[in-house]
Amino acid sequence: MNLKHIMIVFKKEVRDILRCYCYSIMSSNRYC
Amino acid sequence: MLELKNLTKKFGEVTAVDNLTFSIEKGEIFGLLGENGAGKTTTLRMLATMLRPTSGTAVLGGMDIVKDPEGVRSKVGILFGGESGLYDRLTVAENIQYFGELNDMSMSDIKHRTKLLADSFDMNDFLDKRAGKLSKGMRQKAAFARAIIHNPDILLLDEPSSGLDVSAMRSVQDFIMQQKAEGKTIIFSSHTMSEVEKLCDRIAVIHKGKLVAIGGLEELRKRYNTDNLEELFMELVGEKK
Repeated sequence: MNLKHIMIVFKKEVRDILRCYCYSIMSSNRYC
Repeated sequence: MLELKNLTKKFGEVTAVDNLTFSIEKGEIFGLLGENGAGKTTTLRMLATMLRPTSGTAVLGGMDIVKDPEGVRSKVGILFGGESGLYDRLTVAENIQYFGELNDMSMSDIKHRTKLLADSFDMNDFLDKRAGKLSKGMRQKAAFARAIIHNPDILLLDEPSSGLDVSAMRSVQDFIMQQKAEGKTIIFSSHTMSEVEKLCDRIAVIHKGKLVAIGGLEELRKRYNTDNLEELFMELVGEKK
């Protein structure tokens, strides 16, 4: 896996973590 | 489209959701009814992948909430009543854009869809205002637009009209009907019986985490021999106290 692929996976993971965080706030629940 | 399979959530000794099993068809508006603490919000949180079930699972649009929570998150739009979770210091457009980006949308798609939503929700006047400066009704419209920016197939709405005035409540109901017309599957919880009667194709009544009744409104009215949904509800949950 080259750096480009690692960055794609990394960005995808970060996006999901942030989305998860927002959804947790929205549902008044910190668990994710 | 949506299938719950023995979905259970325990918090220590307390069973908040107890073995729920039912399915919801595509394009349906499905109402979850129950008293405070019945397990409606916990059920919706599990479907939104914000809580992991203690046992059982649910499949949304072919994706399992336990095995593929990330896939589920991309398929659903969620809105929980009360605090909308908007970023107060961002404008409405920025809040919507942020969610679009989190859902891997391109900027041109986000702009196109934001315009579409702003037109249909009559939001153009406050699209560039900070979310913190808006009225509750406006915030709820913004929260709706943000929830569906990525055009999800399934909407999970937890008491979406709670605390809203009559006209804002009407906007929420219009929005739900509009989403149904677009073929979305909607599951929502509510305490307002008139709202449930107006919107829902089918309902499920939950009491102490357990499913006590499920069916179409007409079907339930016939089964329990009453025209009044409130009476029906009280009959279902009242006698079990």
